Amino acid sequence: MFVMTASTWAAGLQVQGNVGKLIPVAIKGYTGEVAKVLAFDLQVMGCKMVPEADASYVLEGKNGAENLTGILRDNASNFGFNLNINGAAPRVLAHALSNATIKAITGQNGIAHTRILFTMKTAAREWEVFQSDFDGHNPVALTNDKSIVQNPMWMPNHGGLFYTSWMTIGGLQNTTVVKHNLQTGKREVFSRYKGLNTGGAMAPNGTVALILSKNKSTDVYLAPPKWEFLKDIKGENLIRLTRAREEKSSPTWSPDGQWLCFHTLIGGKHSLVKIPAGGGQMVSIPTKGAFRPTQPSWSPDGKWIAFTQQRGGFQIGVVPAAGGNAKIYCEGEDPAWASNSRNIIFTRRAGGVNKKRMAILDVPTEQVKMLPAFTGGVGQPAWQ
Amino acid sequence: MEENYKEKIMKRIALINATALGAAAMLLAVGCKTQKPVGLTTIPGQKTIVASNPNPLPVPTPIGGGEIPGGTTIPGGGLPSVNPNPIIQPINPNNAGLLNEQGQGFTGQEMEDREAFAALTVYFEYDSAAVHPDDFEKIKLVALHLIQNPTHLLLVEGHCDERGTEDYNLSLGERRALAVIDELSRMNVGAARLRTLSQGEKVPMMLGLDEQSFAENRRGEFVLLMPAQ
Repeated sequence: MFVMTASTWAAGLQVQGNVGKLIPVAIKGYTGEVAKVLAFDLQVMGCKMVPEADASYVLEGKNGAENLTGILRDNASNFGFNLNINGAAPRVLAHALSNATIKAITGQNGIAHTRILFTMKTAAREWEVFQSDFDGHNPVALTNDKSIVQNPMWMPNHGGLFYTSWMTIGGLQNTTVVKHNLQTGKREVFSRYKGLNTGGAMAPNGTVALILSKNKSTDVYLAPPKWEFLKDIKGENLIRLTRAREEKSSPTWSPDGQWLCFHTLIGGKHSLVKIPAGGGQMVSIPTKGAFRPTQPSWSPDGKWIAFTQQRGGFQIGVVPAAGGNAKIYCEGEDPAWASNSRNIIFTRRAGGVNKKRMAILDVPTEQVKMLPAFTGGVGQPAWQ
Repeated sequence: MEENYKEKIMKRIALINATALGAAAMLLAVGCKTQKPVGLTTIPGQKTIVASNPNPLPVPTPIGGGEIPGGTTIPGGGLPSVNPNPIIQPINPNNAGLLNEQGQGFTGQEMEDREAFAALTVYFEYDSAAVHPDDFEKIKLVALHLIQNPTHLLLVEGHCDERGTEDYNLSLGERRALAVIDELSRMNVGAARLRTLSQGEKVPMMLGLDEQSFAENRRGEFVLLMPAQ
């Protein structure tokens, strides 16, 4: 952990609201990795790097081995802060300074300290789940199953995750939803019925949404809080939310846990729908102007649903959570929101089967930053 | 089983063998110069032949044995004296969900044969899970084998091309496998003997980004599972 000391904080700095324009910022005095991290982080969160003369804000300071200073002022020479941060690796210190800068300029919390989950191809027919910093640095493999794995999803407290694995257990390869505790490293089979087992979207109250085909069609089921697969091998305590032959995929909860949104087909048409957590009628979420929407992701502030449109290639779209006019932003798929409800991480195909790279969209400014490429193609990022 | 239906099936098998011979002859003549296939299974008699397979020809016997016209029993064929519904205990408790209420189904102790039905892979249209009418005969052959071999089980794998999102393709692959299972059920194969595995877009047969590759990747594969000796 790092220690941050502020001798001045937000003393009269001109604060910008959530405007849709890139904020011109100059950074002065930083070198090497720290300078790169600051620039990347600030650009992700809606800034553009400009010479000092053109800047609305100037961030100036020095970086040492385990120490970083920063003075922020606006172009009217009002001071934002005077910070001294130390006690951690340079990247960690730089992320902390980026967050402080965004907080001072916009009043919003930054996301530069957060982590992501994603899948990466590590060998022929082998994928593993990885965790890394939000910018793709410091990747750590969480699995070593040498199998297919898809759909890593955080638990709401970020202390663990669910994913869909094709691991062989007892001589049988079957899709399996795995629950993985990141504190203890303990893994357990969460769902392994005959047929498809995927999903693993946990609501704030601990209910887990699954997509299963145990009853001969892919349907949405809810596992109540504290439900255990091995104590319910027949699935008698699962709540079945849908009964239809059409495919269902990508369950995502409203942040209050009242609605579950997912993708399905209505009258043969790809659609986003939602269903009350207690069961009931499926409600359509219109995505006017979007083609073949799949992969919905509900924003943490509850206002928006991001999705993948398929028109020629794949594009990232956003629609109000109640439905309405969809806005298409850029080429990409697999969208997932950051905790600030303004950044979306996604993947973009880079030529060749299963070859994808990650990128981050800043929705208000529409700025896209590509993450560093990995040796293997990556997929399905999930943001802490 | 009516005699004319059997004859029809035998003709079909002979046709598959003849096509495979033709494809092998073509391979000798022109070599294999297209994209490297990545599938584990072969499709004898079709465009793709796995280079590492030294013998792409299917064994010239009726699939899975059983009785052929004339009444000769093929070794390894049906074993009518075996209890068709043995009660098997699962080895691993995590596999208990793959058994039905009578304890019948998949235990993980079966021997896997991916070659037996390699010639019977079925194909799907883009973004569709409807079984193609041309493929009903293939599914009938698989059903016939299972009816004649009551101890054998079947895994149906559903695959997609990459023109869909990963999440959707996982569900689409499952729906394709379920559509094939539906046909097998209609042909009187018991549900406890069948299971599905969607591989989504993750195990393509061809790596190309062209329509021919996509078409070969949109498929349902049959994996025969036989009781361990």
